[in-house]
Amino acid sequence: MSNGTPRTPWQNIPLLIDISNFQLRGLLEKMEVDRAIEALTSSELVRLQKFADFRVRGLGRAARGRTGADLLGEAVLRTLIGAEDTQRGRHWNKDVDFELHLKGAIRGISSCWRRHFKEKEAYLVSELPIHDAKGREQSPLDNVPQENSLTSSAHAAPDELLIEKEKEERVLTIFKDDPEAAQVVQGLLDKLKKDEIMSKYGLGEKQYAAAVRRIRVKLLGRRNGGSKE
Amino acid sequence: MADKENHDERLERLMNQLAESVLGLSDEAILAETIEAGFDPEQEAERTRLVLRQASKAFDNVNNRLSNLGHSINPHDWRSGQGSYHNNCLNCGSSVSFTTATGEMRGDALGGLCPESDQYTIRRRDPSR
Repeated sequence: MSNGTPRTPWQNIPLLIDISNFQLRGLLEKMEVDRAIEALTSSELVRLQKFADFRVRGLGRAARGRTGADLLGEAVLRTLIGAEDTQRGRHWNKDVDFELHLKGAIRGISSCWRRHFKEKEAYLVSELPIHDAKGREQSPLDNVPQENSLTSSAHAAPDELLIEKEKEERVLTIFKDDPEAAQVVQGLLDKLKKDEIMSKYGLGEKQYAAAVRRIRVKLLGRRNGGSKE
Repeated sequence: MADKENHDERLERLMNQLAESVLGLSDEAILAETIEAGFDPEQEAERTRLVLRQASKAFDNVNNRLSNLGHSINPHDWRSGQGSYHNNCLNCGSSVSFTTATGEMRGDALGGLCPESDQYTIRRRDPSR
């Protein structure tokens, strides 16, 4: 082109874009997701982080070492996968604000991790070949008491059950100097509703709210692993 | 109650209830709690934003890289496992994985152009030329 020959019109087209409507929609939605991430306020971000941290803590062994940050990352990823298809991933309906969408995604993904963990555990136990003293193959579930065999605890070895029990006791120990917080923790562990806890332990609305606040602050505080620095 | 019920489930219920309680907090309350827990809310917020950005960027990078190499993947087939996401080229079957936390990419698919691709790839010019 340096010989001064005039360009034909097609040579002036700087770029040919080979992209389907499907891909274009994905790209545009990704831009919207990126914009929504930048638009989140500090309080929304901190709320999302705490929400994800508690959800991961609730998973226990099922978290498999994953953190609240991993859960947040997965929520964004699932949103981007869902951006191109309303049937897959976590489609973001733009009528819902982004923070609310992410909360739903976090809730769904953590429940999914729990479910997969339970399925995997069941699979691993069934795959374990064990043999008796005479070399005959046995199922590891043969010796599990019937009343436990259909519960999720059927898949946890006795030492794992002990670890889980210790974790529960450790949480209660954190609040040994705060009777109201300990009562609320005990009530929530025992599947009691807010009104039932307040009634059982004689707590008023403000006392209950203050106790829940102290529990959150303490469990996600620096001393109890709240920092990932 | 604990005898009949798994301790795991009891703890999960407690933590999930605490998670839900966070959602009802006002902007001022959530920031005040963060300070009370010993953290700087602005730093915490920016760290969280970075996590979200990194996930988006990692997804973008892996898709662009695969596209430049002529690989074709089904964007809905990303499978998560052991902290990373896996997929395979629909044409040559080669694998690729990436992590959202670090953005690290791995797999045969990143080793070169897709041998099965009949796509005419237009490569970007090197700005130095």
